[in-house]
Amino acid sequence: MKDDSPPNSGASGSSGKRDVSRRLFLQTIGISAATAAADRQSANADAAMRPGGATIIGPMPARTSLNVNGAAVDFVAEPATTLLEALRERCDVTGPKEVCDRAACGGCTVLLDDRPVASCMMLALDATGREVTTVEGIGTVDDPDPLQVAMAEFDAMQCGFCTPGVVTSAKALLARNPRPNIDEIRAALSGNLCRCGTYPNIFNAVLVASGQDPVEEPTDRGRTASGGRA
Amino acid sequence: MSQEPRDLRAINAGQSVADDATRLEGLEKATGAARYGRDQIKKDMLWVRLIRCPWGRASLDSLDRDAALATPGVVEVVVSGDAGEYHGDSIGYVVARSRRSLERGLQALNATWTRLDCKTGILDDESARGPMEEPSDQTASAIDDAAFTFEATYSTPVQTHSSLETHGLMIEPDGENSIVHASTQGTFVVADQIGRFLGKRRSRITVDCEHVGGGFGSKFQIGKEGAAGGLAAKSSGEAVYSFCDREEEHLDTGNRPGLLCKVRLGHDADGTIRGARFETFGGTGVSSRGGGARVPSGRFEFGTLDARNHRDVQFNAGGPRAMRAPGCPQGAFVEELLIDEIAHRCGQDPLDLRRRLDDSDRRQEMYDVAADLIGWKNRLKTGSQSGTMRTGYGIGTCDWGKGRAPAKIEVVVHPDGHLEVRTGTQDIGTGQRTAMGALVADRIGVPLANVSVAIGNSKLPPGPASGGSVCTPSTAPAAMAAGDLARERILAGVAEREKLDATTLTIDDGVIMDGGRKVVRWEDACRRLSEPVSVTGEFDGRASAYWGEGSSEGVQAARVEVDCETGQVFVRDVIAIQSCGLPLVRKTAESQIMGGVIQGTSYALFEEQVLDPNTGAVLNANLESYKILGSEDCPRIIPVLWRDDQTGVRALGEPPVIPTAAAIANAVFNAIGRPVRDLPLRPDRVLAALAEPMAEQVVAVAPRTTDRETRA
Repeated sequence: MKDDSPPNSGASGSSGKRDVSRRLFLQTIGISAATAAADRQSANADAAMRPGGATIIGPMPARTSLNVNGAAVDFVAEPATTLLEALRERCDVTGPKEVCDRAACGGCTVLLDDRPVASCMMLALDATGREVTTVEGIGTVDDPDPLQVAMAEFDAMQCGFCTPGVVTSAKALLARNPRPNIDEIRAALSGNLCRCGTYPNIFNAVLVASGQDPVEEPTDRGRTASGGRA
Repeated sequence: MSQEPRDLRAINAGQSVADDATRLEGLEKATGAARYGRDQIKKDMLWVRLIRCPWGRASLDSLDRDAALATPGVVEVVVSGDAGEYHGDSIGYVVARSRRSLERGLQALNATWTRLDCKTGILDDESARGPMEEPSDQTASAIDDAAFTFEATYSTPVQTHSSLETHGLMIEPDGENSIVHASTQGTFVVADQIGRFLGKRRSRITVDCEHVGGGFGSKFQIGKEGAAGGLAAKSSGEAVYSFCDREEEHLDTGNRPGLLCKVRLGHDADGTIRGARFETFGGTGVSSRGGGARVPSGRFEFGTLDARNHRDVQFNAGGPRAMRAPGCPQGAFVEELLIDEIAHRCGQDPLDLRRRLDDSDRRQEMYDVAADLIGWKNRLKTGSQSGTMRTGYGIGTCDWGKGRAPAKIEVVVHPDGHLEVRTGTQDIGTGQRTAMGALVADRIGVPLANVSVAIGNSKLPPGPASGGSVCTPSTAPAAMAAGDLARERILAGVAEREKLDATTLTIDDGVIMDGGRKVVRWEDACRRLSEPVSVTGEFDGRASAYWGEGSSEGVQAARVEVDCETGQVFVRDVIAIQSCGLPLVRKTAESQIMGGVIQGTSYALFEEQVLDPNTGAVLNANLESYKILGSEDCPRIIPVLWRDDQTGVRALGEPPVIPTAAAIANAVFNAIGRPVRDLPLRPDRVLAALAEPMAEQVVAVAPRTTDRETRA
């Protein structure tokens, strides 16, 4: 597996430089203004293109292998395929949503080795050798995660289109901080936009899923409404 | 909140038909199992994208159709125009076998345009820029008779719906038939409209919209993207996927139009308004209509009125569509801020002035509760604060009509006791599915666990689109009737078998009772059915016993903090009191109110479509630049369901979005002593207001017009 992976795939190398993100891809072909950081990363990408480097991938469709929700998935796709496109269009995993397609809304959030990422901003190839977990991998209708149960219980959704991304970001928060306070929850979810307007219910769902009392539930059974930011 | 913590458990408990029910599709949504139209992705479907004008107004110079067609994977290029009247206007579409080949085809098309002069806003209209017209003689003399004259101009921005699921549909061939997976607020509207493009009779079309990713008024029509999808499906005979991307969503799927409103009025020293003239200008982009605003709303007494002086102003931008309470939040912003300005001029508490100008008995009670819950007693006199952080309190109000439309609901009773509620109308996130299930379960007397709801499919019984907040009020009477019919059917069978009088039988939590005696469990009674029993409840759109009494009225109160160094406004608390007749499901009803408040807060603080005045290009056509409220901006919200003894189900979707921006603007005025008369309440506007002199007071000491003290 590792031998087949492209040198810029992130299978090895120091963290921070290892993702050839879609943003970088665009920058490399001159669409966006280069920044100092991007220059560093472009140098990396250029290296991959040099003869004598390891396998060169593209521009023709290439075999891509992903580990999605614990299952290996193989498909052939153009190297420019984003992780989000690969999940939705190649893996039949449609929990992650395409909303803004530029990491402004969090609708496409997935876990990459337990870290939340915007799958629209990353190439599928860069997820090679990593564990990709989507909302479907966190729990199912028949075997839901307690967080998902709390989301339903607190009506932390209306149309539900942002919900997979919200659940995924919140799950990552709970993994690194098992008892977050409301400000930590607000901050962790600040990249997840909900247009219907369900944030207060989401906060409560996360609090309850982490074994805490809901603070912003106005009609909660017997609780006092003491929440809100000072 | 500054007052002591309080037990709010009682506020909404017992107010709804189903206090503890949770959204039926909640787990499907929380686990990603819910499939939306945009999730209907097939490996070998065709992708469609419109060819769009990149400028406010432009003519097409050249376009290489052959090169686009020669692009591998491109199957069709349709060009039907050679000019664009706004950024995002379409002149044709490209169809391709994959997303990538579609992108390459559009690149190969290499459209070049000549940019032309364009208009970009309401102020391009001369009469909007100019002075007010003279009021009618009657109104002029009423204004002259008053002790004081007041004149001001207010404005609101263009707001885009920003549904997270973009507009569009996926069409799947099914033999001679077609299945249309649509992101829509009108199942049956899509069924009516798509056939013309697909070249199919309606009987051969099934519309599916089991889950819809948001709809706030812009998803009633199939739109250009739907029409192009239909045409592509017709010419190819293949599955077709035609959805807008996020930029297109901002450019060409409608918006809440901007408003410019000029007001002149005459008021007395006690705040009584003797006469007023309102002139409104609504920006309709290239559309010829749809820019209207509801101001004055009719909720307050303005004396002799010159109203309905409205002008739709056209310019080079995408046209408006209905957006959650069309014309109302912008109208409320003007009207409510105006009232607070008059109250300040007269040295009065704006809540007291509202009590005098508002003749709704229900809102009079709501004012007291809102004042209590927000801590109105802590409100300082407008303009009395100094220092960097200043706190303000404000009030806004709403009402809504009693629209209704015909609807049918079918209930199928299965021999295992399971109840299948069937309704073709859509659930766009309002909780319609849960409301129908809970209502049927309640009418019959069984737990909601016995019920499943099939919804969002044109082969199911018809009902209205989700617009005008008529969907739940219209389907509820049909669901009540269907529930009663199903109950009577089963009880008749039990009565016959048990030799009992059916009229004395009741069903309590799934057990059929005769007086205090348990007769048989619901499931056991149903087991006697040889086959499923179907009944259909119908509401003809006119009054019926199930329509009942009720109205939608509301009062909201906001507490804000304003940072006078940065100009930032922080909305801390919003109390949202709302009547909607008989609330059906507590949790989803609270969510609806909360959602209205959050969208209203977002409208007040952040949202604004920006057009480049030189090129007419929309400068912020995506969510990183068109800001909507996020988790860190969200106020604490207390939604209060106000039931009284209302029996009929009334509107809830739209009214709660109306008062929020108004209440926030009033709170900012209270905090800083100067009104900000333009939405959104951007930091630069707050700082500019702070540089102005304190708002004028024409009456030094408040005359005692009421002996009602704000309750602690």
